[in-house]
Amino acid sequence: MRDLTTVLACMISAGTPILYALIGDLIGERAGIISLSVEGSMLCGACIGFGTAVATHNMLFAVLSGALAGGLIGFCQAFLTIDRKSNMMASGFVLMFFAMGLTAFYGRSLLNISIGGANSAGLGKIAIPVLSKIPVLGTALFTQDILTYISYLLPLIVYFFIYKTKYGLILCSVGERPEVTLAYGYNPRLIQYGAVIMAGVLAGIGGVQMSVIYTMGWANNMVNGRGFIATALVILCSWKPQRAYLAAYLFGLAQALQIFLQVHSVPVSMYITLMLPYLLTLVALGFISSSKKPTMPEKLKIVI
Amino acid sequence: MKTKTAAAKQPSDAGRSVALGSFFDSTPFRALICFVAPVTIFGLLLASEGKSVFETYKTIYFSIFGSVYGIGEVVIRATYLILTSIAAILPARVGLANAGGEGQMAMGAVGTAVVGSTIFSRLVTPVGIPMMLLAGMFFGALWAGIGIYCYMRLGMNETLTTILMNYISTFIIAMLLFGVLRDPKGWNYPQTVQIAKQLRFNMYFGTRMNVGIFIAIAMAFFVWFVINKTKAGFVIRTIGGNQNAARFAGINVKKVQALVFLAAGAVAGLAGAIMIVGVEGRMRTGAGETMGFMGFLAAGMVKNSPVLAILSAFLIGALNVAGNSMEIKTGLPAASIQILIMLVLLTIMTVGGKKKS
Repeated sequence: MRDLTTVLACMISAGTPILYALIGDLIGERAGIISLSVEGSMLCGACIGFGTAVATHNMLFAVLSGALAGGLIGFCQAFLTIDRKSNMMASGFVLMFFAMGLTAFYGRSLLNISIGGANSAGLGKIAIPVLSKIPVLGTALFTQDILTYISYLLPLIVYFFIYKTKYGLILCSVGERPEVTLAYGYNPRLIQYGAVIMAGVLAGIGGVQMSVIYTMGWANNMVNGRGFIATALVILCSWKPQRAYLAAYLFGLAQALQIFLQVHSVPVSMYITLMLPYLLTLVALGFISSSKKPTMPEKLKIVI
Repeated sequence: MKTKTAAAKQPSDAGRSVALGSFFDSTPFRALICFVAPVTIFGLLLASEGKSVFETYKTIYFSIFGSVYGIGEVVIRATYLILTSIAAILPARVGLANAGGEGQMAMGAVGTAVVGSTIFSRLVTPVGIPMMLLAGMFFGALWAGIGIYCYMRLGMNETLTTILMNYISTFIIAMLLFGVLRDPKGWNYPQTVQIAKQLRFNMYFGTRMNVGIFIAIAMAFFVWFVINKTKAGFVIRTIGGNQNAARFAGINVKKVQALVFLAAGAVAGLAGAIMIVGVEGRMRTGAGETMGFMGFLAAGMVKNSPVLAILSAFLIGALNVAGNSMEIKTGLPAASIQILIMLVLLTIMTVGGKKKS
């Protein structure tokens, strides 16, 4: 039973950064732009967020700075793909390496610092009064940090935004037929900018969660492809935010399994368990792609 | 009122703005920007961290041009980058994006290292080295084959598939090097057994330079020749131009795409083979890291021209070498040089001509 709780808790913590990046990229892709740059946004968010957390011990500042850093990378992606018509994949790659260089450069002093014991600053875990008493699930799901709680709501919020509000419809129209958006009196370019920057902001927050709460430390290139995984998982979700839970926690589960197998010293090569999240994403992508054609935004069909 | 004044002003203004505009649009000016802007911004970043800008740029310059050894290192990096950029260029010409040069090169390298120390270890040089290079190409194509299978049969996006496969290849190779392939006499280092001596390239001028660079350059010109001057190249260009038109012309688009993708994997694998036969002599963790990714970017930098990719490969290769000596001399992490490389690319993307869609 304790094992199950541990695995679940690990699954949630590991899945949360992915959930943020996934939802962000989903918003961007709904507007017709793939942000492979969420990898870069996550890295910047993780580095800057951690630096701010170390300096100020204030979660709010850490999140804001991480979001800003991620948003800036998102802005670059928006500028390059929307105005300069660059290849979305190539610009995403460039921005990832740019972020990698920048964070290695400015994150030198952050290496080997741990941020444990800073519970007073809103960095620690908060137990939700009644829900955390549920056996097994309670400790795993409802004794988490504030960013995780927000991430529980995030797909729901985006779901309502996309399907139930006028602005969601406009967002999707940009990804389907920008002419219609224009005829309707909105500027598709501006909306795309907003969506891609939003992708960066959310990925940046995901990065903050990862460095400040999940690993409690900064390491060079610590994101290690999670942004790419998030981009792949958007396809797995068929661009539906409500499926983001499943996709992100599938990845989280693969990570949790890795820790579980290590703790119980199961004779499996460490590298197989490390590979598991990537492999699982690939296999899942294979399943969704070979089954019924997913409901892809029109504009992405040229790219994907 | 406003429109009237604007209209009145137009004749005199238009002349000047055209002249200025043509200057700002000219290629030399853009090239200048692509040099000045990154160097300035990177200089500002260095200054912001209290590093001497002048000293750092001096280090960068001298690590590249300061010694024969430095030039040799640049040439070695350029060898890999030319080949990995071709691995990105070939699929791009048939409408695919191969971001998996990294994994294909690594798989080529590990495969070459294994056959070089086992089944090929008795071969004499004139037979052995070509066999080694072919082995690398085979393993690279094999790894690319998985990617293209996923694209063709399962309809998976090839870019994301190959990116994820890069990470997977890293872990597979680490598993092998820490496991079954670990050299028992290697003081527990994660590396394979050294390949046979007669299977190595000679190194010249006291550097690690070898004939690999000529193979790479020849490959670039060969690819250019195939694409532009042969019947097969015509098919490739037709598919790259308009896939539907190619289909109507009776070309089996998928088959050509698959073959080109496999060829791309083979070229990336060749880079890995040259790395083993040339500089390394054995596979170790981290050998040739980021060369595949950088090759992808080198290809993007020159809009998928195989011959121009030689230049961009040399540029990125030189900056990579500079990064390493920067780490030693100034204490900045080697990855910092990526800022400069990416600033160059970002500037090219910003001021370069808009791509025709």
